[in-house]
Formats: sequence, structure tokens, C-alpha cells
Amino acid sequence: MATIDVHAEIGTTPMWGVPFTDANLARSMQKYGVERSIISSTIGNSCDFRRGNAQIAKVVQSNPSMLGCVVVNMNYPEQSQEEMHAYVGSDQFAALLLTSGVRGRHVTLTETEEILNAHRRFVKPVYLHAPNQQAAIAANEIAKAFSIMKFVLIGMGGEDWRMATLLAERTLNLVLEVSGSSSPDKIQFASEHIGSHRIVYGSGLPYVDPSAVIGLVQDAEITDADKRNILEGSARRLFAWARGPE
Amino acid sequence: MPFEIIDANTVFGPWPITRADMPVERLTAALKNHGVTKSLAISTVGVLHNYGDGNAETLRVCSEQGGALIPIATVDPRGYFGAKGLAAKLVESGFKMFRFFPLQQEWSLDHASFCDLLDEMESVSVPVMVQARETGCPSALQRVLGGRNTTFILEGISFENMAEAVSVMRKHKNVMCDTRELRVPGALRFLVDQVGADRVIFGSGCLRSSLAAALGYVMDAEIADEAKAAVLGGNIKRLLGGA
Repeated sequence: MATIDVHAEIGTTPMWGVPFTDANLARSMQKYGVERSIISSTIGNSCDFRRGNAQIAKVVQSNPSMLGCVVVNMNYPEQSQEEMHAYVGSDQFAALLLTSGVRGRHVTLTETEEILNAHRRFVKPVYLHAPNQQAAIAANEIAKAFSIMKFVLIGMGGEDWRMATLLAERTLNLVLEVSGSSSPDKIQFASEHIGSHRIVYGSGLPYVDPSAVIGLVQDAEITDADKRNILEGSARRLFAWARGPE
Repeated sequence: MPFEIIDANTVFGPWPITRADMPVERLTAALKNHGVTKSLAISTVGVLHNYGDGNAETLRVCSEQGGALIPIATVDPRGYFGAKGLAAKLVESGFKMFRFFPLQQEWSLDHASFCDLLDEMESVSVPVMVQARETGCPSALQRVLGGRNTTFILEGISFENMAEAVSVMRKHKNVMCDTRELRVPGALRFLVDQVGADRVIFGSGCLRSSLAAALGYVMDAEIADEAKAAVLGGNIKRLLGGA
């Protein structure tokens, strides 16, 4: 079974400065049978989204199994829109990640409305970090305001995965990405409430080992078909990709 | 009386937290516009991402500014595993001071790795500037000062924690402070009266804070010209061995 990783980062890690390159990611993909990864840059996520996007643009050009995720910062709406125009339209970029510029602080509708309005034309999924209940609630508000777009909750609410799942049950354009809490029950709960077709696999590399998240999915008390959806099928539908390598 | 002005507290680079325009060109223009001869500068990449990448960027960018910017290194204790000789290597590569950002990076001053770093700093004769803008910061630093000879500069002392800073500075002659957060009328004069003009260093926080505001505050302070000269440049010059 092929796997699609919708959420990995490459670059030197914050704090430690350990390099995690595209070559490292490629090795990891091979090890875990990941056919395709959607990547952003560590520095793009931590402090400089423009520099990060430029780095990713180079990487995806030379790695067909990797697609970019454009990172934008809600504090810089004009520059964010410039980044979107530069990259989101490209086939080598699959998604947009909206950040607040501060780790642990979520984005809000008020602060992201301008950027999201500009994103309407691109029809590509929008990622939102959702490490806790507050972030999930804010993401839900955004998703309701932009019902035409798909929003992927990275980390599916962390320890508040029940809340995130219940929100997604009511807001049909929310998709849950399974990195985050290691609760053994969350995959089954989410599959039962929203269906595995709205759950996607993201490794969270280089901060989480893929074995942990894949193990969480494989160990869940759900059908094999549901597991295939989470690890591959849901992402194919979300990004409108044909089956098998293109 | 014309003063030689050296700004001990400047930053450049990306700033994701709020909207801010902080390219190095803006910093050098501000220094020039306000008659600041030199500044001690650091890239925000080292503060917000990781110190390896940040220090490399600081060194590269400062070297391109014709001597106007003096490179400052940083190390995030959360990513420091006791690499022996790190401080010496950074000094050898051209860094003239170290800065630490416990408030920004959310670690405490009794962090074991930070204490290891301070041990490491003892072997190099460069000053260390530590974020100290909140109540409790000077006291927390005092708890790890014992027996150390390194010169510490408390960054961001304000009206709120000045009494605390003065208390620490009275007990530890190797502790100084900068002027970045001084705003209250008469605070600089009071500080100079309490600890002496040779213990206060001009630092603006530019590009995060206004250089004009910080400089105007010191220029207008009711202290002797000799004291002003020391604060504006003499003290940091002495600490850096002539800058």
C-alpha cells in the first residue's frame, strides 16, 4: 500500500539546528513506502516564510516525489499574497499553510480573511495548525466563513481531538491530519464520526518519527479500507490526484 | 560636546511575530541618520530559528557592512549539548559579544545548559547580554552569577524592575545594564546616581524599537557630559577592548 504524507518539513530544525534535507526525507519516504510528500521549510515555519518558500521551490523542482506547501504569515498579508501568486498556481505546490508567526499561537478569521479571499482562485487546500481546542475552534470559524475551500487541521486538535472531530462532523470542509496526540482512540473515533475519507496522514517530520504516526493508524480498530483511505486515498481525493505515480 | 555613539543593542532580519520591516539596510540607514558610529548587531534568525544558522547569517551580513556592524553571537541553551570550545570558536570567528533571549525562547535562567554555557564563557573575555525586561529577571540572573567573572549586561531594564536591577548591580560589580527600555523622566539620571555612569550602556533595540527615541532619551538626560559619553559609547568600547 502506498502512503501519502501531507505534512513534512525540511531544513535545519529550530533550536537544535540539526539538518533534515530533501535527501533525508527521500530516505525516510523509501523506508516507509511514502510515494509522495507535501513539504514546507523549517525556517519558513519558524521565522521567514519567504526564504522558506524559495528553498522549497528549488527542492520540489529536483524531487518529483515532493510537492511544496506555500507558507504565508497572517501578519504580512501583502507579502503573503505575493508568495501565493508566485507559487500556489504552480503544479509543484499543492497547498497553502497559514501561520501566525508564533509557535503555539493559532490564526484567526479576522487576521486571515484578506489572505483567504485572495486564495479563492487557487482551489488548493489550506492547512491550519490545530494543536489544541482553541486553534480548532478558530479553524472551524475560518472554514465556515470560506465554505468553498478545504481546510486541513494539522495535528487534529492535539489532545483535544474529540472536539476537533466533533467540529469536523458539523463543518464538512474540514479535514483532519493525524499527527499530534498519540491517543490510541482518536483514529477510530474520527473514522466513526466523519469517515476515513476526511482523515489524512501527515508525518510531522522532522519533529515526529513516521513510525509513530503510521503505527497509530495501523493499530487503530478500523477496517483496512479505512486505513488505506487515511494513508493514501483521502489525500488523493483532497488533492485530486490520480491513483499511482504520475 | 559631540559624542561617539555605539549602539550595543540592534537587530535585523525576519520578524514573523508582528508586522515589521527589518532588513539590514534599514538598520545601517538609521545608524547613519542618527550619527551612530557602530552598532552591535544580531540576526533574528539566531533568536527565532536556530543559533547555528543565525550566527552564520550575522557574521556574513555584518562583514558586508564595512565595519559599521559588530557581530553578536547567540546560543539557545535548549539546543546546547555542551560542545566544548563553542564560545571560543565563535569569538575566534569574529563575534564580540553574546546575547541570550530567555524570555523570547521561554527558558529560565537556571536552565542547566545555560549554566554550562556560562561556564564556557568564562574562558573568553567577551560580555554577555541577557534579556531582563520583566520583574524577576535580574534576581534570576543573580542566582547563577556566583563566582563568575564574565561581564553581564541586563537588557531592557525599565522602571518596573530598576530597583531589582540596582540591587543586583550593587552586589555584583560585573553586572551592567542597557538603556533600551528606559522611558520614565529622570530614570537614567537616577540609575547613574545609583550605580555609576560606567555601568550603563546605550542600547536602543533598533530595529525593533526606535533609535531616535532611545537616543533622544539619553541625549536629553540631566547627567554630566562625561557620564553621557560613557553611556553612549565609552563603556561598551571599554568592554570590547576598544571596539
